[in-house]
Amino acid sequence: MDVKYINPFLLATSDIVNQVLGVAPVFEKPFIKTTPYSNAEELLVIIGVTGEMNGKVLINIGKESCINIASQMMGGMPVEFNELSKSAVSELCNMILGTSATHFASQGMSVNITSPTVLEGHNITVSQKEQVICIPINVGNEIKITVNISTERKAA
Amino acid sequence: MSKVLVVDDAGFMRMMIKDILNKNGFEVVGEAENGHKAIEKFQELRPDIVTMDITMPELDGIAAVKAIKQIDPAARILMCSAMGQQAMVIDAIQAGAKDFIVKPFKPERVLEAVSKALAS
Repeated sequence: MDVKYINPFLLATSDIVNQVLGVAPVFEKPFIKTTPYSNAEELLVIIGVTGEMNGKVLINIGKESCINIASQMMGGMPVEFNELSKSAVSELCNMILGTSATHFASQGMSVNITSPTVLEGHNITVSQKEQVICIPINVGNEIKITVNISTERKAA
Repeated sequence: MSKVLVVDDAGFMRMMIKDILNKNGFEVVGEAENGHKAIEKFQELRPDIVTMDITMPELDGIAAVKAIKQIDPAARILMCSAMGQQAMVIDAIQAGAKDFIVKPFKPERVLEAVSKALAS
């Protein structure tokens, strides 16, 4: 996959994490994942990408990271792992993908996203046909996010 | 006290917007999690202003704005979306939205937009 189609996701992640969580994210080196792959952490947020880029982004986040993200988004309030904290994490992912769509638009590509679906479970295994680019991201010491991107430029 | 209907598919986001508005002299009279529910609640509650997400299941926010404007051409609706690209903003404004707030937002931005829309 062309790096110019990955950069909008990275820029958006950096932007939103900085704004919402107040910490600059540290990106690990992206790599290509072979499928099926299983997810080490409990939550998997799925957001579809449509328009001139097509595919989906799957974001894997653990319970502890979910609690830390939700708490930060609620001004440091103590939170539990429940539907509300999962909704906060799903909203964070929605903002990242929404901002990615805006970056694609600035490259002249019209991109839309679907509303997020959140899966919860242990070792959720994902089977898919598209190539998956995985980017592990650390936000401070307490939040770990793994972004799996499988989007392709739609043939004109 | 001005009555507000908050529309967003994320419970967390509805809670945050409600909290900002309730603390600043507005009354959130209802919530909806998709475009269809937003239209129903609008008819039932006749709020002074609606905050409207765009990306939602069942019916998106732009389609909901068009439907609400047909019910009441004077309806005041503020878009509140993570999708900030120009084409989306233009679609929303053409559909009849008064303003467009891009997520993530600061509370002041929401209050400013709500107050401005109510004054118009």
